[in-house]
Amino acid sequence: MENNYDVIIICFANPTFDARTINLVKTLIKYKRKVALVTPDYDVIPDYISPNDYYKCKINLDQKVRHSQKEFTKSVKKLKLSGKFVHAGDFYSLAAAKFIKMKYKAKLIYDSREIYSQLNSLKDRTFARKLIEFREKYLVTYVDKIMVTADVDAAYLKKLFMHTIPYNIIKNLPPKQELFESNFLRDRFKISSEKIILLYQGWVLEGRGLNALIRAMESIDFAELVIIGDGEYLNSLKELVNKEGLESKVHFTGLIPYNELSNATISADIGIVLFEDTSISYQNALPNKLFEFIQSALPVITSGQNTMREVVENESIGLTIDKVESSDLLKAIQKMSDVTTRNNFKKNILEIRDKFTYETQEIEILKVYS
Amino acid sequence: MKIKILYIILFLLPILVQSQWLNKWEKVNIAGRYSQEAYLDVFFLPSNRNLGWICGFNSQVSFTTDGGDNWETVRVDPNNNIQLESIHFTSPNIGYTSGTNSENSLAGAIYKSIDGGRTWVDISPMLRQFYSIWGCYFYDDNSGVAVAGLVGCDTQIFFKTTNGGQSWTQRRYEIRSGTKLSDVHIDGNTGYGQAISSGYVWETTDFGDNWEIDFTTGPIDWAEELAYQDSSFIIPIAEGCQGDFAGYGGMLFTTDKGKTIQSKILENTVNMYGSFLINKTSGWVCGFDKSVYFTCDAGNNWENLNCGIEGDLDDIFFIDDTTGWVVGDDVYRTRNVTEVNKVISRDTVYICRGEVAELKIQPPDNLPKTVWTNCGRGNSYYTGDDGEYRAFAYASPCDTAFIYDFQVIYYPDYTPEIQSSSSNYLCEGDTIRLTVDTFYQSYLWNTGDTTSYLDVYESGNYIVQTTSPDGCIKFDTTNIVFNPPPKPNILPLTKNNFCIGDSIILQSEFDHHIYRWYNNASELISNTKTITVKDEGNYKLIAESEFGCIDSSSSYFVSVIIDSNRLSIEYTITNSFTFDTLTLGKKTCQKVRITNTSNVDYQLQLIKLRDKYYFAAPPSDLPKLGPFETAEFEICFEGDSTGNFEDIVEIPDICSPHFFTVDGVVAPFNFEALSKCDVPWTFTSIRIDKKHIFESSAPYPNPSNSSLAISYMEFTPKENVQMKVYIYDSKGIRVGELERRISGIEYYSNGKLERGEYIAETNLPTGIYFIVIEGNDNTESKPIVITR
Repeated sequence: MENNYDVIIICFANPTFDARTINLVKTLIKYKRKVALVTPDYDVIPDYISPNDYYKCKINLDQKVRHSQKEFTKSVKKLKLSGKFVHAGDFYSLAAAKFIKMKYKAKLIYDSREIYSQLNSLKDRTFARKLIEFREKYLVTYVDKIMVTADVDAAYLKKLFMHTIPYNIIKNLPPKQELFESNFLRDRFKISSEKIILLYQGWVLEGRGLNALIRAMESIDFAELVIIGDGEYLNSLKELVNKEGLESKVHFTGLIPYNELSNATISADIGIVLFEDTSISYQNALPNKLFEFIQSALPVITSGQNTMREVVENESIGLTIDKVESSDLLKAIQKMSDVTTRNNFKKNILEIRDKFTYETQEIEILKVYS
Repeated sequence: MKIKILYIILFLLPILVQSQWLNKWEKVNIAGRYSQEAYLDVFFLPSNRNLGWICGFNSQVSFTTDGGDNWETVRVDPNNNIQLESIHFTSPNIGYTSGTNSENSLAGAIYKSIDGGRTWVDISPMLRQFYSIWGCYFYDDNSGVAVAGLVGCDTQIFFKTTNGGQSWTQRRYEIRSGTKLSDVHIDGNTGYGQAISSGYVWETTDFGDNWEIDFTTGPIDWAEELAYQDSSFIIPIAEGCQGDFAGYGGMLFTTDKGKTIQSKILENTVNMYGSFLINKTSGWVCGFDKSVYFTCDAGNNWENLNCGIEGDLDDIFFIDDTTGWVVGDDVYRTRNVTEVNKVISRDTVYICRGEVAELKIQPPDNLPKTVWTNCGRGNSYYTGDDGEYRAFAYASPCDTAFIYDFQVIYYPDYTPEIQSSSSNYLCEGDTIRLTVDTFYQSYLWNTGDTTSYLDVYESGNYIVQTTSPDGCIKFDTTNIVFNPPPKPNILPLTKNNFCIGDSIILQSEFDHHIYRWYNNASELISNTKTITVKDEGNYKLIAESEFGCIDSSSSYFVSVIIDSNRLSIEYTITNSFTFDTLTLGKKTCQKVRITNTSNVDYQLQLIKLRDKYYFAAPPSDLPKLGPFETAEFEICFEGDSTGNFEDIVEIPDICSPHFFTVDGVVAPFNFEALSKCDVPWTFTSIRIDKKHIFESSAPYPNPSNSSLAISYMEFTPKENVQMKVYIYDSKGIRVGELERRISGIEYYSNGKLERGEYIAETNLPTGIYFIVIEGNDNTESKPIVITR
């Protein structure tokens, strides 16, 4: 067999920033699996995999996703990669992965890290949503195992797909991180030591509560907000900040590579994770940023989705708000401004953070690829 | 055109290994065949593949008892020419065949044999004049269903018998668009069954008593055969409700009960009548014009594999992967593929479970086509499953092909099992060695270690991945918990530095599984949580947790002083100080004597009352008693209801405090009077209701230099009363306020009882001041001297 990889990981996301792909590849390599990584060409070279095993597909990314996806599938076919397992890292990689499964009888693993037909970006696009749902239902019939991030996703997809494919829950957990002192954000934005740093990190998209968060900053003098990440909503937020004259309180970093992210995260005081209940995908959200904050020992303020509430309230590591509104956020931030409150949450985080590391899932990952 | 019903029982057969490709058919001579008209159905008994039956026109049934090498033929009904469409045996001797009179399409008939097909009796449901009968199926020797219809496609009838055809019940259905039933099957264990008619598949869940439409198959075209497995159906079709349109023929394949249907339409009146499903994606159909089509991809592709066949066909049946039968104008069976093709190679491929094997052939150029028994094409085939695989390289299906056989075998599964060097509970500080068998080629622990063992010091999940001598990777995991030590700590419950003869109570701060107390001489003195110690020295507690983890407390030094109490008091806990009986609403004070029995002065300390509700202790300005001097102090008693009252007085002393009980009785008072009618009345009091009670001690210390306080006890009914305590100087000017500090609250049905102190830190100059207590409706003042 040509190539003869143990696992071929196909992912549409940028391999430098996509934590889930990075952690998966690293874990498989740790366990001596011969791994190939295939992504669109983002003009980056990931440092966690040998260049010989990284395949980038030159496609036009400046067009509608479905067109890019088709190009990507064609491009992957031309690579003629074979292996025991082919891993579709997202919905957009599934067609390409299906080809390898059919051609080389590889076992197909589908990482349904989101409910793709219920993405927030599709909430007003019924036809597109139905199209994705239809396509996903078809492609899933070729899948041998499905990976999801939480039980609720598995339950939803089981109903949607009506099949008996086994599910494996691989949570969005970050690798175990050593705690260290960092003034990364404080130095970068010249934030005084008296001020608290509120941190949002992740994709900057509509529905992530960022509007309300920025508006809450109008009434706060004891803290500054840093937004790490990029996304289609970034410019709107910058406009809002300018319009409200909040430039001195709200800072944007843009994307930070995953391997440098912890240095920034750990230098904040409070992590913020917000999802508005605008889509099923958001309602079931249990994002990696929550666990990244836990690894960095940051108390958190999160929206009240059951998935997050379960972690935040059961472990007593922060506050949840019922509604993603400025007033609720303001109250939570004010409450969290008390250093004793933060220290109590932090103490709890330090006790439980070992539970929420990617390493705890290694055995589950080995089970998926065996 | 002849309409033929074909029938298959694939359900009782094992799943066939797919060696269907490139079968060659050979014609079989049927002895005694008296009619040259076509055979319409073929059936072999699953439990004995030597027993087979075929039936057809002119009431003709042939049977074999040697797997088809030799046949005998009988006429089922000498008086009628029955077009026998279906034949089915439930056991070697008992079987049924059904069909319709060729001369009268409304004369359906069903016959039963109890001697393996040699003789038959007519068991038709009713007079054979009103309906046609097509297929029948018996799920045991006596119980079965026959499908029938009235004229054309109007009414559908399910006849059912449970007594071998002695009597029948029937269920009739009409479909608006018209249809015609042809075939039926019922699972004798579950009662679930399906039937097929033109354009529809039916289902029953009660052994055929009731039926309903399960799904539609498309246009109302004649579908003569029911062949299904779970949700997969392979359906032969002929155009028109009865297949008599002389239009197209074809086949349908669905794997999801009709939600999606792959159809292949054959033009030129090539009607299809028989079908056989190998598995959920592979099967056959046969029909007119020597058509024997095979698909192995759920109907996406079909290939006519009819080498050796002439004429029209009506039914097809496979006993196993090399033995198939197809009947029609003639009877054919498959020839063993290895007889008609050439076996080139036999290879064995070993793989680890979970791996994919590439099976590769290199046929000569003159055999450009390749097909694998698992439906693959091309010279390479990938599989992750063990088993036998066969590839055919050929130029055309009827030529001799090269056969390449492969056997894929899994290497043995050597799954590691992590063994622990200790089966006991582990404690922090322990070390444990995890091991796996040593025959593996390599090891990889999640810690990065690559040895066959791992020494572990910390709690966590440990994973080992092993590579077997064959190169197969497996893993095992174990969770190791090192339990924390119990961390014992000694708490003194009573005063240390006590007088000789007294004792101290030491207690473990936390609960533990086992306690071991050691004295100064390292002797084990107790195994209880609490110990009483009289001797001076260091004491240590060694505790053991439920997991066997042991830890020691730090030493606790018990100090004993050589001294004795100074005071003598004539009352004790058991020998109480008793007040004279008090009348309700009155108050009394009585004196208690204290004697300094030592030859040195002794300053009396604050005398405390435990409850301080009905009894009042003396103020804090207590005297100093000279050697052997006796003093008295006063305890007051006031009850607000009748009954017995009790409190405990504590008087501090050098070594240990003195305790004694005070008690008193409040008696009711009686009120006697005469009513207007000179009737005497007597009232007895029970309780005095007070809305608010505030009792306070004298200020202390008195004189004071900087801080001063008063103790208070306050009963507050439900309405709240806020007492204020101020300091006034001798001129009546308010110079300060005392802060209220609550030490305890008790709640009662009629209010709450609160105790505590009013305290102030003051810089007032030396002088006489007054503590003024202000309530809602009364004010009380108490003098105090402040000295600087």
